[in-house]
Amino acid sequence: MTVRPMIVKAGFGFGIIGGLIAVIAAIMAFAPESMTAANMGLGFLVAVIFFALGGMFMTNGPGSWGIVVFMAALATGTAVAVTMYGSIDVWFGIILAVIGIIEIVIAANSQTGRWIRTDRLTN
Amino acid sequence: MISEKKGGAAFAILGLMAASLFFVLMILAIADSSGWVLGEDLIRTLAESDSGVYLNSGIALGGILLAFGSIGMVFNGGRHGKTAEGVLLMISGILFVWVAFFEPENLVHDAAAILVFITFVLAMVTSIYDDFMDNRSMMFGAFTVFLMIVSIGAYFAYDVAMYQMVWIIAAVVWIIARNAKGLMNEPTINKRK
Repeated sequence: MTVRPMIVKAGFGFGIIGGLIAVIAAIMAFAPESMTAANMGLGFLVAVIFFALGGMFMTNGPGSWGIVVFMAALATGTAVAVTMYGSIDVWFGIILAVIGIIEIVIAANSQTGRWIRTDRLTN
Repeated sequence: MISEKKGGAAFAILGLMAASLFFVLMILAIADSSGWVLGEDLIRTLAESDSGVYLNSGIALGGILLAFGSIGMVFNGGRHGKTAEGVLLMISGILFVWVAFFEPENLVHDAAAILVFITFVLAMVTSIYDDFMDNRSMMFGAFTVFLMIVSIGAYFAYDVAMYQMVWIIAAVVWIIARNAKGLMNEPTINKRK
């Protein structure tokens, strides 16, 4: 069994928190009077990417180091893009963008990279 | 082992000057133009106005400096991704000069503008490849991916006048960040270990 560094555990935690916030943002974007499902769909897309990113910090998580960093940037970029589109509330967008930037810093950290390349069970 | 030559700072300064000079002159053109409204009027309208001389000067100077600044990327390091990025940015810079020199009514102007866009996007893609290859520069690779996703989002979120500005600002920020990184010692896989 490998020991996960604290920073990797934080990456997992922030990924899950980001996903949950995106789910809440998507639910709050529900507008039955306009019958638009697209806004909710885009909110859930952000949630899925954040949950996937969180999963990459698990001991049995998938993807190489580069893919983890790429996913962190993708999650942040998608959160900002979806906010610009107006699908989720601006404040949720700002919180998600901050969490995304933290995730990029965690993912690009050399300690995370070393753990993914050496200690993690699967790559 | 990855060996990298250092000493491309002069080229990086040219790149920094290219982006900042273009941006300053574009701001000057916007400030000088009375009728141009951000988010409502196209950049093309600004270029055709009386204040267009500032913008066109910025485009021409920026293009020349970008083309010369990219020489450093082509010959500094011997990495395929970085060489391709340098060549694409150099082509982009040369075509950028064409955009300024040819009148907006001229077909060459439109063709050059489209090709600038294509070569610039390809340069960003090769930059991502180079940064993620051998885990060379994760942070900057992530930054490039982020800017690209935001630019794609802007295309769907805003109308043409606004997303044009978002793209220009994203490109300026990317060029400045790319060359600021070039001024510092690039982290290599050896240093990360």
